[in-house]
Amino acid sequence: MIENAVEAFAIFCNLQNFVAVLIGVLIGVLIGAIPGMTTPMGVALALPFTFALHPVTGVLLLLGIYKGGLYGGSISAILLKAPGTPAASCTVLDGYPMAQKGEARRALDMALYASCIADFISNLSLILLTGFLAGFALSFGPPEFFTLILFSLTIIAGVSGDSLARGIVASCCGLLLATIGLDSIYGTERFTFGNYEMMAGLNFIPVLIGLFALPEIIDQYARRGAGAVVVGTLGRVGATWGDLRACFKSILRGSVIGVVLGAIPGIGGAPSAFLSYSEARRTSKNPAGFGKGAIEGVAAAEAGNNGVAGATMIPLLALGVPGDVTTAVILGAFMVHGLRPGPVMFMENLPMIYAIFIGILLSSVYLFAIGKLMIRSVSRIADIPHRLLHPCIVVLCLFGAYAVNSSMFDILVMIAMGALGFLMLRLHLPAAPFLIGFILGPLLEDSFRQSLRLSDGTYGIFFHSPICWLFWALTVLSLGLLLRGRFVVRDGDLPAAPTGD
Amino acid sequence: MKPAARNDMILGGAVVVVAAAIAFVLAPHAIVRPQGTESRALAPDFWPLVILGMAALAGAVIAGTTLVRRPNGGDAVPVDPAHAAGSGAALRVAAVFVGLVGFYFLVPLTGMAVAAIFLCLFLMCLGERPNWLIALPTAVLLPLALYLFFTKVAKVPIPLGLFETLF
Repeated sequence: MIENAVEAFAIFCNLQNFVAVLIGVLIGVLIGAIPGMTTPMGVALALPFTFALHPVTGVLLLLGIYKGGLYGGSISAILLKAPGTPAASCTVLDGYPMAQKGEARRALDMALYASCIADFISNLSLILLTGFLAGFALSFGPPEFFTLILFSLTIIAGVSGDSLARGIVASCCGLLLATIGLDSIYGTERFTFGNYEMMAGLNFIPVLIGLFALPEIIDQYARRGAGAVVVGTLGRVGATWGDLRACFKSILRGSVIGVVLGAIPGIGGAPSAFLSYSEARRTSKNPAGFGKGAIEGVAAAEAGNNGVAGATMIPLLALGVPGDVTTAVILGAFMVHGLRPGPVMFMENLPMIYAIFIGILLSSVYLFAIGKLMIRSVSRIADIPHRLLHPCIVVLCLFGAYAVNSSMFDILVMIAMGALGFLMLRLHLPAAPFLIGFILGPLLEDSFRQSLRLSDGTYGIFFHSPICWLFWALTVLSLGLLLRGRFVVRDGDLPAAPTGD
Repeated sequence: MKPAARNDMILGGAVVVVAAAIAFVLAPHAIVRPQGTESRALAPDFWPLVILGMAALAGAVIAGTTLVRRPNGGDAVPVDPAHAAGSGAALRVAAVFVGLVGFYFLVPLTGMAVAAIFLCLFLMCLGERPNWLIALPTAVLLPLALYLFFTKVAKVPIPLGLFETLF
């Protein structure tokens, strides 16, 4: 053990590794902050550069990009309401309202603190709990997956604003839109109308950008003259120690959620961010403030999002199974160097794995330093006059939407989503449930149908394991508490009866 | 009936009608159902129909609550005075969409960077009077910078339109 650790330090301690992690995190933060530039895209672009590097250096460069990208998505989500990644879309819910209130710097600071803490906890879990979490992840089949996603969907009740029925309508729109494309089992067409570009379904990024960024900007154009836009004067006031202390519980909870969900292949950061947000809202002293610029919401979303960063490496390193697209590319980097992650690698190349662990821990420190340096300058974006900023955001969004697939069709999708989002804004249909439905819908449907195929159409499979029962119980409990909270608040909101004074 | 309640009634009714139209008119044509599906729940149209049923139910709830609502309670969302748009606001919204759709059709002709410059200038004119000393260079330099970034750094081929032959 000690011999391996000493050897790992010997492998890690050279300038190349330190610089690789630094450059990786820096590139990742920049990529994440640009709408349309996704982390998998960044990692894939950097992959050829790793061929000439030592395996550890190459993998650390890619891991740096991955971790930086997860945090970077929050920058555009908070400042532009244009989340760079699906996971960062949860940060929009409270981050953008904070920026609108002139608290962009505070939101960015909290996003950074939550990201770094969650990332660090996730890294520690990777190092200490790989065996245990890999075993737990293996016990997740389609029925467990289905009940987990169903539980995650209960957040819709929490983010529906004043009207739950409106939230359900919005989430149904998202769920329905997610069914567009080829059927996952039979391969037949659903709502594609013969258009081959729709057969792969609608891409996340144009939908996210269109739904969040465009309606807000169009609404500002509609309101021109109705009232001047207040530019934040507190854009340079950061998060305080008190803010961090107040959010610490949510950050820890979100990190644990991120670690557990991140270890399960195929889940990714978005469900984790939404689940963490939902739990933070449910346990908060001020749940009504969520969605209106609650700093705790930003902390919870970012902790859930970044908590998966280290944990997604658990199935990759322990089992050789990539947890998401990015780790699949990283698996490719291992294989290019003749390494095959999994139990064999733990036996034959343990010092190399330990060296990667050291680099991963270092990436959290770099993330904090780079994030702190960047926030100083980027938070001033919130101070740019809207008449200049909004056209620039539109142009950025158009390039971003196009860049995902190099497709003009994605621009059309973005414009259509902008129109739909604006209509929803006018009809007071909340965008958050739509988004949750759109992101979680395919996961829910696929796991539901896979389960039924496994059981030959018997619904008992959804109750066959303790994990399923646990998530059913959590779903019922969560729904009960959310609905109870709704009715208690509503009764409390009723105006007091006239007293006659 | 108050305006907020009337709006809810219209919205709820519209949701029910649209959900029913998709379920009974659009879905049978737009979803291909293969022969001999193993069970109803595995059929490609099962999930969309469940979603549409939920949407219709929620729409009925929105419309229904306007009839049984307490005087000061219920789900009604008040009408935002700032959203009670006049014709000027509607024109500006329409103009933004015209600009965006115009951009879409302009790209094959002029390329993305030039189309983005036109769109940026158009949107700047549409908003409050900008300081052209700052606005003009921004409108030109930002699309060019994005073009260079995506083509040279990210290796994403950005369409050049008629300029394709020049570069």
